[in-house]
Amino acid sequence: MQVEKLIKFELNGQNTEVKADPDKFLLWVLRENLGLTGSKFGCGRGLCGSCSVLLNGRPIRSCITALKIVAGMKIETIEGISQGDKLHPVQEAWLEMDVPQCGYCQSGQIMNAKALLDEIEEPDEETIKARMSGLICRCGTYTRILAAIKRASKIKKGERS
Amino acid sequence: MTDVICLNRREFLRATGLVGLGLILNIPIEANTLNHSFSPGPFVRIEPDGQVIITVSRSEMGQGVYTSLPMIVAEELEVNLDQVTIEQAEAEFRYGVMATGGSNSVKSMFRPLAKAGATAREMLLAAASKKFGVNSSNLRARNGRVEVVGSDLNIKYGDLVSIASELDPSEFKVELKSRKDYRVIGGQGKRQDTLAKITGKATFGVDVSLDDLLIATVKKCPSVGGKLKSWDSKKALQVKGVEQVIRVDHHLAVVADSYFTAQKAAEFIEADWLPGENFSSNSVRKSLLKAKEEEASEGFELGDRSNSISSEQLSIDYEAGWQAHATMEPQTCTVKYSPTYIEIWTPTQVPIWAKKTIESFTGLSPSQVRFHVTFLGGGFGRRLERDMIIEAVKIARKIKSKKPVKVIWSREADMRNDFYRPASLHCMRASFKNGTWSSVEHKLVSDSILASKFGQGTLGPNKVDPTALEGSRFHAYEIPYQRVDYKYVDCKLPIGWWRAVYDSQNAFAKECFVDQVSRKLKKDPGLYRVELLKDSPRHKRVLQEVLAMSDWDKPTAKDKGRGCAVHKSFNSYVAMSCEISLHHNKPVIEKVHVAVDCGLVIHPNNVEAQVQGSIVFGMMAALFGEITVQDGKVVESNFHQYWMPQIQDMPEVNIKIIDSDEPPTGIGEPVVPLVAPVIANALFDLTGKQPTRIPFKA
Repeated sequence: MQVEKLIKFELNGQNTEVKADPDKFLLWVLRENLGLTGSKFGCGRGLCGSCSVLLNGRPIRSCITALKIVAGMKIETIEGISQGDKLHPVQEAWLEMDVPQCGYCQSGQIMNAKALLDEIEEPDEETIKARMSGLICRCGTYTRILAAIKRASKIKKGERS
Repeated sequence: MTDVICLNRREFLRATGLVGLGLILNIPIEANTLNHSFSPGPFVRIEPDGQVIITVSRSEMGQGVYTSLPMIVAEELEVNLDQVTIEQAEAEFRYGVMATGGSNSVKSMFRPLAKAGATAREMLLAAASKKFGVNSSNLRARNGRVEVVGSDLNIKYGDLVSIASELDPSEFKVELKSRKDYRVIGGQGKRQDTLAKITGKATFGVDVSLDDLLIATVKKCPSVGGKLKSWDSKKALQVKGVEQVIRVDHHLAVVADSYFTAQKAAEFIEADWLPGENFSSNSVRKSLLKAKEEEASEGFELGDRSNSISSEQLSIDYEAGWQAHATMEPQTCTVKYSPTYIEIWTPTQVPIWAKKTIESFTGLSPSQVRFHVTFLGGGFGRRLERDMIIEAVKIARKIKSKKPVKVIWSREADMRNDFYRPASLHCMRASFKNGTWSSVEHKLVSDSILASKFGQGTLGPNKVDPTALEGSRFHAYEIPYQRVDYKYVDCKLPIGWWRAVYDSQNAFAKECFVDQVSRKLKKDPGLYRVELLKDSPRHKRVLQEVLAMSDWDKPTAKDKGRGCAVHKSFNSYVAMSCEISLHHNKPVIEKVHVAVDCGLVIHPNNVEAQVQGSIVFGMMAALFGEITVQDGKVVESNFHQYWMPQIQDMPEVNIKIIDSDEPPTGIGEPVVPLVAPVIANALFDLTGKQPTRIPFKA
């Protein structure tokens, strides 16, 4: 059995350290050790994307990512993307379009959308579909996800100008 | 929709579904005199600071009750939705029926909630009349205030709370608002749960947090109906953080300090299971086909057989495979247990039924079981079952440390231990006289949900499951002789209510068959349906809308096919058409047009969302995944084997919501049944071959 280790990383802009089994999956470190339950457990095999968080700005499946891998890296979760009451443009667009139904997969959807727009300011529809593929929403909110990403891109553009 | 009701106590109780609960109305009033809030019934409470609290007694699983139900109260109470705080009801009898299913939340709660809002409003007006000494005909309620008409004088609801709580709600004559005066209903109300769900703050079942909470996961018996023979948990117990391994029926629960630990330790358990019955998808299919030849029982008959049957016939068999619910949130339940008091937190569609089950199972009284409903990470009928709740209580009471426990199933446990949509076989036979359709017979061969839940006795002497017949009849269409027969076959796999239930298979068979009949008669399948729907105006209306939306009168491009269907379920009328093409020989759904008539529309934004989502749900069962059984075991374990539509599969969806004054009906399910037949019919249009089994094999 692995001995617990102290592992340090940056979480939502804060220096964070966790003493845990280094093989423990990041999803459960976030949810159980750090009390951040916004990232969800859906499949445990990296297949559905409900657990998506950003690692150095890139979306990863935290349900299959061991804690030891994130040492020294930057993690962003759904809890860290708004600034106080000010929502992130992606969240703002999600709110405007009323995207979620049951909502369970939405943290993962939003984190992937954020990473996409951080990288590409105005993605075309094909790019959005390619980058949001592999994220399962059983309620079928895809129409609104697509619309909300386009809208978020506009909101971000407005903020820049 | 004006409705004058002299609301005496008995009528109020009956209207709110609370008959037999005696002093219900007095309970909140008495209780609330203590904290000085005004609460004329179980659904509305107004605090002295003006806060309006509306209690939602149905479960929010994505279908929108957290918004649509408060909108009904807010309308009559004359408050805006943003002035309202929403509370999820705990399982308590004072709320009446709490089961969420059958697309019936808005349908069944519309009048009780409207009356609850209107009663509170009238009582506030009476309180203001007392306070100002003004006749209540000179008062009106607006935006959380009572105004004196023709003056600047007005007062906040909060400031009327103490006077209003002295009044007796049963003495109020309540008139519901006319539709022309609606300010909230039919408007673009924002979903009240969105903000929590986009910031990670919404509490689902898996998010419940308690002091000293243990986590358990369940290693399930791999065979359907298998038994646990022996097991060795030594290695599992050596894993740091593992507290206990507990036998629950024929499964094993690992209790630990973390889900990660519990899941890892579960892999170290060596268990010997005895297999259940040996059956497979193929063997069940054979049983259904065999039963087709046996005598069935009459489920429905219309018209005169002898004059309608002819030798010119068309017969097609349709089949449907098993489907899992696959809610994104796996089954979960949190229990704080003591021998004299149990507290439960769980995402369920049946809080009262589950609470009663736990009471009878533990021998505790209603006051010794407290039952909280969290947000549901999807429901679709899976959470009408109580298996995960009973199991969690069984685990909790065996925990030596007496700590509370949250049970979380793995995806594998969830997918292989579902109550699946039943497999079914539909034998259709039409006959024709003088070039017209003179008879239709539908022999439905399937497992019975009713029998599986409540015993075969519920099927009566003729062994008919009336719920299985839902959507099986052709009676909207004018066909002189119609008959549905039912043949019950126990298919061995646990089955349950899956979004739209039997309508999802029956509508597939019915609407595919109508299409084939129209082709045989060399008629256009859209226009032929319109012709047959002579005496079904609401069916006809939605279908005509869809045909217009999809330019049905113009031909499609050569490389495209299109299909349509119309079906009524859960009291709502839906028509759909789609346009498809083939990509590497697989159907690609390009456009879908939908017209829905669900009566008076409370929350159009949500109706639209439910239509969009239902198309994805229906596409999944038509084209993507299927649950199969091999050697008595469910094969599919996770999303790599049970494939789901993703964003790139989403067609363009155009929606028309019919403006209607009819009473509101449901929208969570009625769109799902149309998806498979429109795709099958479009495939025929394109390729000349109609798939007869869902999911289609490409």
